Amino acid sequence: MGIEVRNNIKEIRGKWEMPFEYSYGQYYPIFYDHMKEGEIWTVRCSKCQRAFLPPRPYCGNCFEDVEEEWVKLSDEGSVRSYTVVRMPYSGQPTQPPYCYILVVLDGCSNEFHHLLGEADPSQIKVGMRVKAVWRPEEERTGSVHDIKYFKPI
Amino acid sequence: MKRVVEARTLKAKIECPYRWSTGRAIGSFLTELRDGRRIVGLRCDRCGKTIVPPQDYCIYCADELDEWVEVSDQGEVTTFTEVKMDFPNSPLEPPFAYIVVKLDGADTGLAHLARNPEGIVVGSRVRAVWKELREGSIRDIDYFELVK
Repeated sequence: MGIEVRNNIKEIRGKWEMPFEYSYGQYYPIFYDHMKEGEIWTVRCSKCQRAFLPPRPYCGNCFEDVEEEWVKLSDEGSVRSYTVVRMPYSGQPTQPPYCYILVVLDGCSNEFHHLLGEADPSQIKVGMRVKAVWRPEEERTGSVHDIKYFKPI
Repeated sequence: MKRVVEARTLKAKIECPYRWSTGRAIGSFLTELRDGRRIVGLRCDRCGKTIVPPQDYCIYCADELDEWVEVSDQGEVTTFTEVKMDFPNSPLEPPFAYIVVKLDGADTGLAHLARNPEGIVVGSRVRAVWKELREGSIRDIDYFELVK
């Protein structure tokens, strides 16, 4: 009983997009301008002499207002921690397997998040030395992605 | 002394792609929107109610549904929300209304949109405006318009 219907649509594909705008404030524009030049700069606390990434208006250690003392950090450091990602999911920076690292750059008091490249995941050790691999100058846009990844040295 | 920097913002977006499997009832509903340019529902032979959009089981008496029927593409607004404000991903340019319409022949309401909703009230008669190019989506009906 009833009418005949056809059923040829098994799946619906769609995409939710959430556009947003994030304001950089006082310090990020300067940090990103230096990244575009292939250098990592941040502010150093004049009271406790610690430098943190990313640059912020007050010290992450002693909460003092930061006087504008900008210092250049090395683009080399040691791996404090890492995560090897093997599972694929939406929004990944690259095809798995890949490795996130928290790297303490020489001169910095905290960690910088980035990717590890040119490395075998089984060879990664906490404490290993790594160096930034920068994109060519014409590809840099003023972003953390001006560094392609860090590689073991 | 602080350096003066120009105000800079990052414009970006979060994207959530998805895939949704339709099942028997909605798969047929969407196919008939696209290919039949018509709205179909499932009628319960135990309690006589017509469910639009269709589902596998009667929402009134839980009987399994397998009798397909065509319903009108006109009906009565049972509830609405008028939107005057523009926002990202807005389905229509404001002012428009989200509506639930009880189509003639159906016992349940269909959620959709009304264009030019000025004067819309509960009980307003509306009629579907179909898209010429349909793809098997609820938006194959572009929107409903008030019937004068």
